[in-house]
Amino acid sequence: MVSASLGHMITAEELTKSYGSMKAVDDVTFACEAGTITGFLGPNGAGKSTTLRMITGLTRPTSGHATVNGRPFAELPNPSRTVGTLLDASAMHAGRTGRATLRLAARLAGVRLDRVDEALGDVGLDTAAADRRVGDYSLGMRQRLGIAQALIGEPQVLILDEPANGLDPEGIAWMRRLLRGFADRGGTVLLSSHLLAEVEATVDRLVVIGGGKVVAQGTLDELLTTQGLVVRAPDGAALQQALRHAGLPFTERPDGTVTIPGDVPAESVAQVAVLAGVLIVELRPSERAGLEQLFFSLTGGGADALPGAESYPDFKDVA
Amino acid sequence: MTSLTDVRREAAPSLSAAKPAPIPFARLVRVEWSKATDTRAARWLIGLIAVVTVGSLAVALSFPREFEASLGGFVEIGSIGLWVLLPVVAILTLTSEWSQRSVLTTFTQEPRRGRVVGAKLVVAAVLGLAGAAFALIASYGALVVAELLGRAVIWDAPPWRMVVGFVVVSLLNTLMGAGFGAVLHNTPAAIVLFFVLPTVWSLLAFGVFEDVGRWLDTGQTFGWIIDGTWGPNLGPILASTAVWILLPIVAGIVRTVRREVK
Repeated sequence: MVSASLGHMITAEELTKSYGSMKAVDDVTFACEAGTITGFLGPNGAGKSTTLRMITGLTRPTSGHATVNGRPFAELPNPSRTVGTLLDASAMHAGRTGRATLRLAARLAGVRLDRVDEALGDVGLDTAAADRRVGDYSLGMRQRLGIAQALIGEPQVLILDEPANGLDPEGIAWMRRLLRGFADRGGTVLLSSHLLAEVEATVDRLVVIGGGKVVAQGTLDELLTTQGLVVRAPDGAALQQALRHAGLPFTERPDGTVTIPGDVPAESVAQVAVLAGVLIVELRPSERAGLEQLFFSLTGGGADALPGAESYPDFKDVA
Repeated sequence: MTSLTDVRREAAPSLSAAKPAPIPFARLVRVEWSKATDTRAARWLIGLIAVVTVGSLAVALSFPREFEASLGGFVEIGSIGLWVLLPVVAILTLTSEWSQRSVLTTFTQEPRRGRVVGAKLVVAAVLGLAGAAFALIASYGALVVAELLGRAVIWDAPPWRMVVGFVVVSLLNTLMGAGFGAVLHNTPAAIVLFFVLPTVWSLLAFGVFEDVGRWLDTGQTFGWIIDGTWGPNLGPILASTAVWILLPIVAGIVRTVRREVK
């Protein structure tokens, strides 16, 4: 099983989705390997859900294509036996009980109905909860039911859109263990989130998206150890002017300092400042950039900050 | 050393490597049948159809002077609930997954959406046939009751043309509801248009363009089918079936296959 699933279980190649003149997803390319958990990270409205819907055949890409287990999703003979999906936990019939919902999914997938109780057990929904109508579920319970539904066909791949939404910290820890166990048995997980804290401890790899574009991707280690320089000048505007003039990419941080990514030597920056006559009061390697800082600098306050992200060529194709 | 079984046990949810076979159409139909009949709305409607059918036959039995005790007469009374409520069940079968957004699950489990719509149409057809059978049996039962009450019952040979016509119209009427649901994806819109559009058409046909209208007036063409006078009226019958049933179904399949599922 593991040897058969070596390689890329999910691929997205140049996926693009336009609505009129607006590009919701713009040339998104990434791949997920067997045995790994990939976090698909970005602020709300960045194009995460649209990308996941294109991978699962619910939305037709304007261009580009995607595969799961080597095939376009729509060509999988019985998809839920290969890939479990949770795209929106609230998209379930409110009138059915949790158990009835899972029974329908199990019957359609063609698995034995024992799977219903197994899956309920896996996600920690007890008998009382399973026999209540989904309309009476909290969001956290719906997420658990949705994950149970994704697992029902014993898939090798999981695609989950914001699965931690509505879960309490204990629930997030539970989900982390569940997904880690799944990946450790050779499974592939792609999950999206707009909150760093949710995924930082769960994922092996990150694909960061902002304004429809992939702005960074790589292993957690690669992204975390990305070094750069922090520069502070009393006259911030002059410093930025000088850096721009010298062709050095940078981003402005909320505390007024400027971050220069990549392997630019401190000496070069100092030289630029001297030549421009800008006083520098701080020039140091940035601390091991936390994921939060990375996320913030890449996507800023949202899609609006994206031009800044383009000045991060080094982050692209880190993988 | 752990045995394979132990590993499997711990490995829940386990990862299977078996290559899955495509979902058989019969399984799709069975699952869609469950979905169409296991919700509260559907159960209430089906229960209501049974109550209205039996209730209207009871009315017919209570007023023997007003209602002729023959199979034809009783079926006409006993099928009122069928005509009005069964298409609504069929509409719900096609629309409720869009309003509840469970299409997200359905179409990721079977991305060949045309097959899903096909299975739902088969369910609607079965509902139409079952409804017709129920109304016929209930009407026959009411005749037996009338006989036991000592009424003058007309036990002529079953008018087979009428029976066949009745079953066919029940089927067409239910499929028409399904077609409206298939193309509109929205329960209130489909219900309203299902009842309003043909009526408006009949009115227009009556006043404005009689020739075309006559061809597409289901009130009239369905009546011909039940009366068994479909021979001379085959043209309008086929035309109205094509426009009010076939067209929405085809448009519904096309729209469902193309629509972005959110």
